Amino acid sequence: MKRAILFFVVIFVYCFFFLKQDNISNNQKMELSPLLPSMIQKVFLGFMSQLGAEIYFVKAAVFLGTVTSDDDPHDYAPVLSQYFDVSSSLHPSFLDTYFFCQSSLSYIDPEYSMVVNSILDRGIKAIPDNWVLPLFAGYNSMHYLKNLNRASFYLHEAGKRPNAPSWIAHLSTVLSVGSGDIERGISWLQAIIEKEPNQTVRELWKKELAEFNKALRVKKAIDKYRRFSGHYPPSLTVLVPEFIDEIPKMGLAYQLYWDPPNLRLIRKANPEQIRHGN
Amino acid sequence: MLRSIQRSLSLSRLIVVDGIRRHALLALVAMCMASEVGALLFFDFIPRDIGRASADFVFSIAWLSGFLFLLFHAIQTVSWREERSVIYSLLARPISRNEYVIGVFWGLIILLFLLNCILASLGWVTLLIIKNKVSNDYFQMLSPGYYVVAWTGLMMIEVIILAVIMLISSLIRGGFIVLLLTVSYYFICSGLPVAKEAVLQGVVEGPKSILITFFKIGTFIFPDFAKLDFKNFITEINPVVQPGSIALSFLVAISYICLVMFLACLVYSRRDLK
Repeated sequence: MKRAILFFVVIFVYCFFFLKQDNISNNQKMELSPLLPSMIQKVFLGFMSQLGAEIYFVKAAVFLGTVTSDDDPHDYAPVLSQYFDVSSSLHPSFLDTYFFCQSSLSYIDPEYSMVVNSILDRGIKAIPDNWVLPLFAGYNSMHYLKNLNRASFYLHEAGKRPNAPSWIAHLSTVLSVGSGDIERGISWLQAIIEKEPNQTVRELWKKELAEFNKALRVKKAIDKYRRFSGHYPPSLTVLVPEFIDEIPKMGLAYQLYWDPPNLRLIRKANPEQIRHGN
Repeated sequence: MLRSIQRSLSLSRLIVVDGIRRHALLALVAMCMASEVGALLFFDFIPRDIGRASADFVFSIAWLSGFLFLLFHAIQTVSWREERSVIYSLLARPISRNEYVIGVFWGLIILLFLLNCILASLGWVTLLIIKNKVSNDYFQMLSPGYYVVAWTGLMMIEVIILAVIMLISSLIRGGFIVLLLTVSYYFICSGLPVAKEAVLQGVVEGPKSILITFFKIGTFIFPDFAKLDFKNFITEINPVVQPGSIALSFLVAISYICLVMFLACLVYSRRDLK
């Protein structure tokens, strides 16, 4: 009899504390605990590294489901980026990690955009037939990091991959000339014109190529000026008439922007590019 | 020679029958079968790369079950403990020590093979169910050829560890120490490639050429199991793989197993039974 009473008392005490703890944890927000570095995880997980990566991804995804608009992303971003970093390191071919990483971290600030790009670089290397990952990295470089040069390289890489839409390769040429590397933009555009099957699109791009070539003439004039005077011209008008007959009139889509030492060819539809350089 | 083989096979049949009747082993098989079916729930958490995640889950469960089998049943079977009367069996039975070692080894391989066959079949059915449940965009490819290759690779890893267990058991008496050494062996095999990669990337400071030579010798003794891990190819549409490299990996594994078993037989035949 005594044992039965004691048993029920112990059960009651346990239930009381269990329910109290459960109540507290229900009101607490889910937190992610920091992870061991990926190299150590690789040793302990061994053959199960890939499953480990997927489990960390699931944990991060479930955590993201609890995040609300009131939460400051800077509070959870350090640990969350660690989860994506470890997950991509353990299983570089697992695509979902990169998609969630891009959607949850890249917008926070430029520092995290760089972190996302370093994680995406792993996926770009491990999944050579996927064009979306270099597109993500290119978008981050262009929009968050304002690095048009880097963005053009990423988009050029994306454009080379199987089943990539042709506009990606074209966009890489636009970004290349926008960053100031006009020669590279011309060579890339020439290559994609040759591969483009649609005649209407080819004609359109040939007109763009003509615009790029106009900008190249101005660039060559600037280089001549620099060799002659030892410094860059203060404006494009000083090049006329010694170094170039006239500053060519650009078409409707583009305008020249002299941002020493870069001559940039900016799309008129995107004035933001004028204010933000490389 | 034929009689010797027959004696070894008879012993291996005894090992198989003993294994099949063990309740713990049957429980392990049942638990692993239930866990593999758990892939049907696991894939719900994966939004996009469902095929890859499901295949990883199935193989990881199979690996875990094989590892548990090796650590608990295999080590128990081969250990030199007095309670299991291994020593008296060796003295009493009209069987040479080499035949004993090979017989036990083959018996355990057959049990491992049976375990892997059950899990492979169940895993395949599970993956087929998942593939039919989801859109083709999320599970584009399920290659039966690479599935068999991946499972063979997994089995090779387990047989390597089994051979090492036989060697360690020949040198050391007692099951627990053999278990600890086997786990250490596994961690060294997992860790060496990671350490080598760290040296190559310059993460670890030190004279590179000496360290790389050290790692080369290290991986000769402690093989890199990642070279037998082909599970990534099962769900890839165009896997970049050379058949020659797969065949070479298997040949290296088989020759390593033969070498380790030769050493185990050598130690057993010279070892004092006391």
